[in-house]
Amino acid sequence: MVGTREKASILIVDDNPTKLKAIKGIFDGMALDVFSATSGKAALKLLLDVDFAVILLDVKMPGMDGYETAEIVRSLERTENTPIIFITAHLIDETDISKGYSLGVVDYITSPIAPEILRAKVAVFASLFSMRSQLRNIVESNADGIVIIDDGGNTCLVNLAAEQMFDRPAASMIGEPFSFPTGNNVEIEVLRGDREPLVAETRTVEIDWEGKPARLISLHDITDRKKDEILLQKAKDELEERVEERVFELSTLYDLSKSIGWVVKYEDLFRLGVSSIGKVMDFDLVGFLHSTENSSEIVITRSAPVVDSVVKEACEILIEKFNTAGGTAFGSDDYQLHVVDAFSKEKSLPLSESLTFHVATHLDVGDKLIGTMIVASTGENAFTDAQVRLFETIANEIGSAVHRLNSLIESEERRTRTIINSIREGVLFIDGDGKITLSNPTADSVLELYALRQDRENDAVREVVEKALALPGSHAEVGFETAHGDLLRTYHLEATTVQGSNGDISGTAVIIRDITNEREMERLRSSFLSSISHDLRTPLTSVKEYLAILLDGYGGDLSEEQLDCLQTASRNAERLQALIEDLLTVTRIEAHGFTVSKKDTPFSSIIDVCIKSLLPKARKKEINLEADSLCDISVYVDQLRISQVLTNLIDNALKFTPEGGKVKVEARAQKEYLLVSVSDNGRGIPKQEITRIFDLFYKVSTGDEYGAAGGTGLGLFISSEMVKAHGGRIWVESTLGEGTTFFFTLPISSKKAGLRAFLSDAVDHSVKHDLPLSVVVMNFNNTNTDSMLLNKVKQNLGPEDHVIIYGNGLKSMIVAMFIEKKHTKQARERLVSGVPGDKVNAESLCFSKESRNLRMVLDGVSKKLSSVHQKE
Amino acid sequence: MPKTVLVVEDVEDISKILSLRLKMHGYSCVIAPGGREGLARTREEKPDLILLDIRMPDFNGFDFLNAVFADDEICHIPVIVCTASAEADTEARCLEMGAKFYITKPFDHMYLRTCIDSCIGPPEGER
Repeated sequence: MVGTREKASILIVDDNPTKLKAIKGIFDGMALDVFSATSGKAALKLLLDVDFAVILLDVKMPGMDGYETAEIVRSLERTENTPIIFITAHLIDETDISKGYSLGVVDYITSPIAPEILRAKVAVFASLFSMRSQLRNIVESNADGIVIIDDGGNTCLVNLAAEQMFDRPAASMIGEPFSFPTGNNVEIEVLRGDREPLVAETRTVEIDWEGKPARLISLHDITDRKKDEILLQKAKDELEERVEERVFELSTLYDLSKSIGWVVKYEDLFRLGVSSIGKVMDFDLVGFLHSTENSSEIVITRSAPVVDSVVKEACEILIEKFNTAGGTAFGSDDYQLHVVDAFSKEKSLPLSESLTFHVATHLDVGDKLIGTMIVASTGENAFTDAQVRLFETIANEIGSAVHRLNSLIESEERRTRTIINSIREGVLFIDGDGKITLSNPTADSVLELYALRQDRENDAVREVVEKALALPGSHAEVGFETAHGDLLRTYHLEATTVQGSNGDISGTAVIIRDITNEREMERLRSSFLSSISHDLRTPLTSVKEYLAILLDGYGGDLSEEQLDCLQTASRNAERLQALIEDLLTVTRIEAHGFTVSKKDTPFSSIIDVCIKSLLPKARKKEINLEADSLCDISVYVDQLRISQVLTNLIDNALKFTPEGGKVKVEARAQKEYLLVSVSDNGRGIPKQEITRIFDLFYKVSTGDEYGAAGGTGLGLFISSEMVKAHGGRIWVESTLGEGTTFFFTLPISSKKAGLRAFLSDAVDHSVKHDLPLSVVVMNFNNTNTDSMLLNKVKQNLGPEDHVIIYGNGLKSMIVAMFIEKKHTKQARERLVSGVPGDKVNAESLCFSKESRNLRMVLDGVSKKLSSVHQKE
Repeated sequence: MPKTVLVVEDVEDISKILSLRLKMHGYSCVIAPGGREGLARTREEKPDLILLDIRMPDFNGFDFLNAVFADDEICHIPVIVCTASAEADTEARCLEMGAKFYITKPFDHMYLRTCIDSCIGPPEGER
């Protein structure tokens, strides 16, 4: 419509047809539709059908005159604003004029009519009309709702679209205040009864409406757009959420597959699976059934404290799933069940005592079924499809990991078995329940051949296992003999506890070694040495005795030269004899060790005997041999053995000291030990040889000068063994060119030292037999230092440690027994270093803890304690 | 009449030197080169003391000791074992069987004499 101009219509009303015609003629040539009416009534009739741009109305008409007609026109809604021009034939008075204006008459035209003026006036109205009608058209036909409100905020115009928007007829709104905010780009929401609310966007323009300032508000319906926007946003949100979920799922799966590659244990694998599932779903229980050729196990992880019947239910589902998926059918007892709890105590009890929701799937690789898996809940929320999908994906991952693990373990087991089977020693693995879970053919043959499984010898296995378990991390040994036909065979069992990855003891590995041949070799060697010694002694006896008898003058008087020759021969025979004796001693030590029969002996007497026997030798070399001994010190030793040690050391010193040198023997008390030293100012021992000097058959390399002095390489070895047998220590300090000092320690005889010696033995015993015992002795008085020491002792006590008191009363001998399973060696050090002079309050030491181990140890010790006590 | 010592010893060099020594000390000496001969001579001569080797072929010192102490006629004769055997249990066994002393070779002839003396007293005189 816009742009095309409708012809405006005008109406001429005059009762005089001639005049009517004349006036009509005035408008010829103008783009107007000219209507005419000869009476007010006819005019009103036309007004019902046509909108006129202007009405030219004759004032004086018969019947209904101009005024009356104008009044009616004004009263009609359609025409209330239609401009009216009065036409009068003559001048009228002022009263009439104002009457006309009050009726809305816009102008007066008097006859004679000036056509130019009339045309100009009408043209203005026509133009105005067409503009208005055009505007109206635009407004009415606009798809946007348009509301025009006047200065006072009342509605003047509502177009069709707006009517529909507000769902109200325009008439009900016209003249009413417009109750919505106006302005630009304001969104207004219109509630429309039952219909959905409408959302419109406003634009407001200031306009001139009917000659008055007004505002035109256009309302653009954006309900659909809004709806779309919301939908779009929702879709977008949903999409994002799903993307996020998917990303999370993917990252969960990624994490799972990444870590699953490293897993080498089923339990870790299952734990990983559970944690992955836990990330994506809320469950009370996850179960795995894992079946291999040899065994089946079910691992149930509870994330809530569900009752046993629920666990059982889950197991049954797993088994059923397994059986229906084509697994080798197995009953409800053919598996090992492990329940792992992974819930915090705070978690409330589950709502139901049976499963409300579960998903189960089978774990397979290719067409091989390796197990089943379940995730279940006792809660109210079912699992979503996405969760189920994810669960199945996780199950897939786990399935292939289990498969990988199966083959890994299988090949590992194969390899281990091959190795174990191929080693010569018997190997047993005994699990925590004492069952043999692995054995190689050698072990089998030993066990079966000698029926170790049932009878006495089986005790050897049990004993070694128990010993090993008593000291986890270390190993224990036992030996046993058993008859094999006529042959007596000796076996050596060594057990080591095997720790699982979590540090728990998973079992004991026992190595069985047939040591019959070794023992036989030892026996042969020992008998060979002894027989050689015997066979050497007999001719030596002849040599010695015939020489002696000659020297005694049996063959008559000897010349100087003859005497010298015979003496040389005799001296060498003596040396040979010493050598043979040493060899024999070593043989004995190596075969059985040796026993010492100790008694209290004044050490000065030992020194005296040794010095006396060696003085001639010293004098011969013009060596100053002297002894500095505190005469009142008694030692608790085997006198013969210690004499042998001291003689050996002095003899060595004499050998390696040049003529005119000096050898000094000293003895002084140091704590509860006697420290004995034999020092010389000889040539010294090279550093690199000092560490080996006590080794068997080790001989210090001799310089030319002392070539003849070289010994058997046995003396120091024997001395060292003997000192050790007394609970002492032997060592050497030497500076090349300046001299050498040998030191050794011996336990001093005293009440205290006697007890100490006993306790030392007890510790030795416990070390040798791997008994969990260590001992610390303290004494005596009731002073402040006592309490301090006691605290020190208490602090050093572990949870398994114990203190007992020996004797009673304030001046008690206090024996602290540390039951330390692992640290017997350290305890021995503590014992050796001792706590002399430290004092303990006996009364405050009265604490101990009940323990089987303690009792066992105490039974043995208390007997010994009482014997020591009596002796002293 | 000096007191008689029977030396039961298979090694001639040893029995000879023992005999020489015993004679030097004033004893009369009879030698048997084996256990069986030693037993026969003991029964024949009823020596005052027997000096016995252990390691002998066929009939060894233990067999000899068994035989002597099983025979009432001769079981009173003191036996001193003189052997090159160094095993501790040999010594214990001999003493247990009834030997008075156990001397290892090479022996100290003064110690040997002391032992003999403590069994039968000096070479001459009352038993």
